[in-house]
Amino acid sequence: MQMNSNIKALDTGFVLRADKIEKHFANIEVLRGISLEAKRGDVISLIGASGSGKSTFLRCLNFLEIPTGGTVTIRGETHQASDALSRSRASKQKLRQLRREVGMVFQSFNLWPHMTAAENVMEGPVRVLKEPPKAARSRALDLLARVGLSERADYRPSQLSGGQQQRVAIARALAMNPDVLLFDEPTSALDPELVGEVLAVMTDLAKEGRTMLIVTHEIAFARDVSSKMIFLRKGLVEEEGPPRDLIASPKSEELQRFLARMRH
Amino acid sequence: MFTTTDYLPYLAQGIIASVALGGSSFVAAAALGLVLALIRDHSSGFVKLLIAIYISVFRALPELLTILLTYYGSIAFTRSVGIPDLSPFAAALLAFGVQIGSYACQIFSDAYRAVPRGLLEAAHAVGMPGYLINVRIAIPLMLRLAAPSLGSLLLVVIKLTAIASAIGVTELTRRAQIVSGATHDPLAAFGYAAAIYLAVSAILTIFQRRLETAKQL
Repeated sequence: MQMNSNIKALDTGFVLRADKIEKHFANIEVLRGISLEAKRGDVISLIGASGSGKSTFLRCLNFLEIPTGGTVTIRGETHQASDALSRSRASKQKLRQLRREVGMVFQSFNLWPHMTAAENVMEGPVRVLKEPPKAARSRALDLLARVGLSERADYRPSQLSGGQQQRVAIARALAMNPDVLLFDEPTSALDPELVGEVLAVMTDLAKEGRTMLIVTHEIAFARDVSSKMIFLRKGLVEEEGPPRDLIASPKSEELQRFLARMRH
Repeated sequence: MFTTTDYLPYLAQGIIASVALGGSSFVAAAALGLVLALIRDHSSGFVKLLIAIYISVFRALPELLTILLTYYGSIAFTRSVGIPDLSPFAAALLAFGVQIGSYACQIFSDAYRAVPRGLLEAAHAVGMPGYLINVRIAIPLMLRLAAPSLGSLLLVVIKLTAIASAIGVTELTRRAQIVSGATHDPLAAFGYAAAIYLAVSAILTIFQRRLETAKQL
């Protein structure tokens, strides 16, 4: 049965599938069974009020948060909570494999302050993918150029603006050649005038066919860039569909209210 | 009759033993503290409890008592087993390493907790295994955060070596005692010793400042 569902995931072209992800913290149910399928090139935006579980859900997809229940399937390999909790070599290996295939961009950038921009980008390729440092550096410089930061390669994060730091963080995630990119409110920690440069980079990535899952409050951006929008409420999918439909004609009262609030 | 100035070279050479004992004790303590801090952060309740007991015991014991207990304890042990005695220097190194290690462990634990979790998560997110996260991210950041406190600890350790004179290590303070016995001028002997301690401390402080400003980039 397990095997069959794996094969199906490959056949139907899903890059990533989350099945009934649940997360409880003590007695609080943060996620109450969220499922999602992303095909190659899909850009899925997750919206919802704070506390709706959207960031927790995203963090469950690469097991930074260990879900209480449910599975994540990527490249035909199914991962579940029991694997992540096991201390065995094989499950640790499997967990690292999952994380390698899923890139993550954080709200607070999380660049390593003791390394330059280029070193931040090279770290994963050199240490995890075992690329030779020279090759990794030249690839890092290319990636930094793509996010418009070739001149800042040898700067430390503390010498960069928030927008620049986030673009380095995007380059760092791309350096692992992930199948899916997760963005956890990538512009929420930025000054308003720096939001545009990060969204522009993300728009380019969407255009080149990257598979992306984006938790965001930037509704207009989400509408323009994503192929699918999911509205989460109280740990469940309340509404989902093409972003324009969702925004133009929200069915549920909650989404109507949420959108009205975001407009002001 | 010799004056204190005649003994100055003899006195000044004492700082070599002080700095050697202080420096090696500090290195041993820092290594012990770092390892215990890492174990503490990754282990279960029982091991955590053992480390907490270690820290509170050596925080409570006076250094002089620890050093006397270690020295006479080591002699009792080596005689009963029939192996050569520990030299006073080695006994002092052992006592300081273990005792100061408890301070260092606390400093490293605090520093580890001050490393922003997100920076470790970012390392997990690229698929780094645990030991690499420690070596590449956690420990370098921890050392940066711990550096000011470690610098102060080194100064304290160098001063503390004075009490190793109690078990016969002829470091600077011990030599000042010997000189004052010979010249009957304790004020001059101890005054010179104090000046030498101040000079060493000044040099280390300048060095530490340099390190910290260099690191800020």
